[in-house]
Amino acid sequence: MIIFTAGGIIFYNIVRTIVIRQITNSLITEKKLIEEQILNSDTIPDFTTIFGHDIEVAIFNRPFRVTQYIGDTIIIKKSDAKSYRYRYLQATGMFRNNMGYYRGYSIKTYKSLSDTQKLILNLFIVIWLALISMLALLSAVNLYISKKLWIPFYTILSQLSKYNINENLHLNLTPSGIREFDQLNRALNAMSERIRADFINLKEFTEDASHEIHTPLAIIKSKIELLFQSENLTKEQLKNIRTIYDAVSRLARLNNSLLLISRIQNQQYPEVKEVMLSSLIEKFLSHFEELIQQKKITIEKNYNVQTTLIINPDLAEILISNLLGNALKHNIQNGTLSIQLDDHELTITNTGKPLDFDPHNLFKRFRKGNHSGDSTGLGLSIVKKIIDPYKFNIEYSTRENIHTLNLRF
Amino acid sequence: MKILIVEDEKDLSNSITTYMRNENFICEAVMNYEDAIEKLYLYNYDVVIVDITLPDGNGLELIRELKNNRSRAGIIIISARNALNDKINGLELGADDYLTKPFHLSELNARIKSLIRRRSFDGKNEIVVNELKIDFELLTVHVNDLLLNLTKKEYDLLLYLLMNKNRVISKESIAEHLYGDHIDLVDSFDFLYSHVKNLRKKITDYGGRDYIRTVYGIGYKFALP
Repeated sequence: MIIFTAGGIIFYNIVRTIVIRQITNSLITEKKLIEEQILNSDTIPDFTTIFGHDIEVAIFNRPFRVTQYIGDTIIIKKSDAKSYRYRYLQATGMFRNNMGYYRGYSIKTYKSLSDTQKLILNLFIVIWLALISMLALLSAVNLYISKKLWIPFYTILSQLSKYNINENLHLNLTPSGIREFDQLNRALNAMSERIRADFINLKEFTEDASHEIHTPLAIIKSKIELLFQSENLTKEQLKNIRTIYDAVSRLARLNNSLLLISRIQNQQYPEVKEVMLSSLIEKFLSHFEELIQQKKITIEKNYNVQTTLIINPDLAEILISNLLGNALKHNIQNGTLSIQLDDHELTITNTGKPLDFDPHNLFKRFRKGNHSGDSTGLGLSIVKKIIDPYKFNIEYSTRENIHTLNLRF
Repeated sequence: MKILIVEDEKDLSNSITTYMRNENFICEAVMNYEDAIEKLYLYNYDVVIVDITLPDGNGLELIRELKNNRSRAGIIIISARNALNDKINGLELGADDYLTKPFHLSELNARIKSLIRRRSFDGKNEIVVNELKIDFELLTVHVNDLLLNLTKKEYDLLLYLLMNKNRVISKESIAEHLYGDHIDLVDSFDFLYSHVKNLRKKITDYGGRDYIRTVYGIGYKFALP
């Protein structure tokens, strides 16, 4: 647009200069014609009939110097009292008539600029409109073509953005029939296959490694258990053995949890069933009965008994036991635990010490507070991993040492 | 009672053998599939402990073989692969129990004893230890013929201690036995203490002796003189 505007202005000026030069030239030609007439006949010709515009010619009895001046002027016409721009030529000169006298003459010719200016303007508008419509047409065609041309590109883009490596599917971009895009497809397909293979390999590695760690752990554990049976251990030795045993137990728990996470990610819990949540919660509440009594925790229950969940039954058990276990473990003496179960929501609220880390990290691996002892810090991370494939949602909120976990399904 | 242990990890196999010999079991250990087959053809065992992954074969095949020969041996699978399929397959083939590595020797011992108990058809479903009488059928405990009012967990605890009598049992082992191993509950040790306290009190209140010893820092022991 800027180019067009600038181009328009330049174009306008060029045309104007050309036209003005033309006018000037015609003024000069006129003057020459009049001069010729005067020189030949020594009379003032009736030019208005010839040229159709204002000419002032006068002959004098004394000679003039030869001059010529060209300029612009504004003339107010009496007929409509409007001012008009004119270009004029004023010339003086002298000659000898056939009787031998020197005589002078003055010629003043005018040419209206207003008409030509109008002409230029009209010309300009016509050309401008032609250009603009051409531009509009061009961009419309351009848009249409590019839209058609980019359809395969946008298809690839949408397929790519939908692709999730965790879903364990091949990328399989649909061929477009356009050579360049098909090349792109092939490259992307190959790349995603490589990434997928690496990803699967890595996942399998995690699982295999976890499995391999089980056996040495079993050996260490069993040997320590045998050591416990020795009668003649000193207190110091017992303490050391105890520390080793604790560490090994923790390692074993950690390994189990990691294995569980990797199994969930590897989708090794495919079969789903309708699970009655209230009975599952009851089962684990009675399972944790002693812990509840020990901490003197008040349980508040508000169930919709009929609420069911389509989920893998093993994962459902782990999910509920982790949620309840978490609410009990981080509870305080004489605290409360409230369980609210609606059609599409399970809310577990418990009293407890304030979190000493960012709640955003609550569901991340190995995130645990300072007073969590040798907990693995994987409990809620496992919860998150379990619910993710089912597209459930869990949120944490806290208010004055009351912690709430809200699971929506 | 004769036990065959089929486990390719020598150290683990040794631990199990040592622990079980102290329980007065006769233990034999083999390290591969071939030897196991040979032993099983030659002798009769009451319990076979099988690792699923063996260097020259699959433990599941061994179970199939045992069942084909109509062996009466009880079978316990011990596996590093805590895979659901292995467990289901194993139990479908006729294994009696499944333990995932790493397990507690005391747990394995309790499982073996409970297996033997279930398999003995002499109608004896109670054990008597001095003034204590435990009925497996009714899940009851009598002290001096007085019925103890125990919770399910207290009953399980007493039985577990008794199965591993005169053995030091770690708190982890007891907690896992009572609460399962997928539960990451650190606090469980605290109330294990009150469990044991309650159990002791109930037994002594009815005139029983206090058999349960606390082993400093480690766990408990059911001490029978």
